[in-house]
Amino acid sequence: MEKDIIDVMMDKQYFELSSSEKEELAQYCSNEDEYNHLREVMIGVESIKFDSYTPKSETKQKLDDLFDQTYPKASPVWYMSVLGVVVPKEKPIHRQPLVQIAAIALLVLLAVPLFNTDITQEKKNQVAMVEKEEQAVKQDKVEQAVPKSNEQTQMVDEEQPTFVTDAEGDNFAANAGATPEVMTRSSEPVIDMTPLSASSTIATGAPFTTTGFDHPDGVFDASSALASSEVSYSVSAADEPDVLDLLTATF
Amino acid sequence: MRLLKAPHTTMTDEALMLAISKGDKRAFDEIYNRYSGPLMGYFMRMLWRDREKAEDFVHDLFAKIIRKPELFDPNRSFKTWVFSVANNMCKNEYKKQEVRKNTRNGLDHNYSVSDSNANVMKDVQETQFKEQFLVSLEQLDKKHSDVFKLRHIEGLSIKEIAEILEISDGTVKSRLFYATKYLAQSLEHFNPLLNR
Repeated sequence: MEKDIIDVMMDKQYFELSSSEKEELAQYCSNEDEYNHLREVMIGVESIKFDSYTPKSETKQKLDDLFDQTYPKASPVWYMSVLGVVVPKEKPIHRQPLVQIAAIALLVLLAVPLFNTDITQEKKNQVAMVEKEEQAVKQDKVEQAVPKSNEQTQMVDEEQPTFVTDAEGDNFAANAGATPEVMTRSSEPVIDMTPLSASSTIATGAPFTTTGFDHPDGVFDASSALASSEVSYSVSAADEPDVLDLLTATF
Repeated sequence: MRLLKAPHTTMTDEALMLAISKGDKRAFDEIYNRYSGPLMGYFMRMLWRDREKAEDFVHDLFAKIIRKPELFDPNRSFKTWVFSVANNMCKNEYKKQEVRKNTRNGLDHNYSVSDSNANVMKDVQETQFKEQFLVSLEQLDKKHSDVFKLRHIEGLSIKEIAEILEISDGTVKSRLFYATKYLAQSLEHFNPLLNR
């Protein structure tokens, strides 16, 4: 409420009044005493607690009936009653049932993809991937082992040792025309570098097999080897994959 | 079309009246909640504390708002308009009754001095001061007492009172000071709150 001269009187003492205010009050208050007297009456009246009154509820009921008669409502449609429940106007929008239901439905729709994952299929896929990797590793090892064995045999073929005895050394010139592939020493054993056949069996722990040896450990005996003129070496890994597994370290 | 309607509690009185003219029941409920109490108190003080009569006047005033909301000018303040309507109703009642304020020892037979809310006034002197004040107020001339009540009891400004009573601001001030001087004189011998 805009402050008027009465409010000024109740707020200020006489000495606090401005010249314009004194001039305005001059027609009502001739002197300071009169001013103070009127001010005290006004303050005293303002401090009185007057009774507050409220009409009876019947009065409001009559007025409501009159309002309904004056402004008749349109015949309600069935869905208006539903709307009145799910979208009540007296409630704020965030507390209306329809809005709350829609918010919950939206949250559920957003959360469904997070939980709708086929775990078993995922695990199967993981297992298949691991198996594939293992197979690939095995294949790689096998492939690596085969070329190595081939290289070994090739190296053996290329590097067959030649042994020349003293006796034959004198006849070297005579024998010069002989094929130089094999010139053996009589005192030295003949080493056969040809690979063993795949069908040959090899005892576990005894990678070397010798033919004609009777020693239980299968120890190489040069004399026996000379006699048999045949010494067997280990079987090719490509022919015996089990041997390869024993040879390759596994951790 | 507004998707979100403002709640009626935040609407102005003038906007509520416009909504009432369109059949908005909640707008009427809000206007009733805001002004039924002050108008009931006004009629109680203006009509010699006759509660039944005050209830009837409240009903009639709001019935007028329901039936003829177009009587209210939206360019005007609703508060001053409704109190001007109430004041005119009281004037008409005075003419009908032709009752003078000075009847039995300055009191009307319908006028009750006792405070119905005695529990509120613990201090006896304050109660006596209030009673004396009300008696003195009733002894005043109607035009002066009405101005004083509207200013110090209903809390209206000088400008609003001038609009309600259809008089100038200067006339309101002069009537107000005259009433205050009269009350100061009648309460001179009994004014416990004034510390004399």
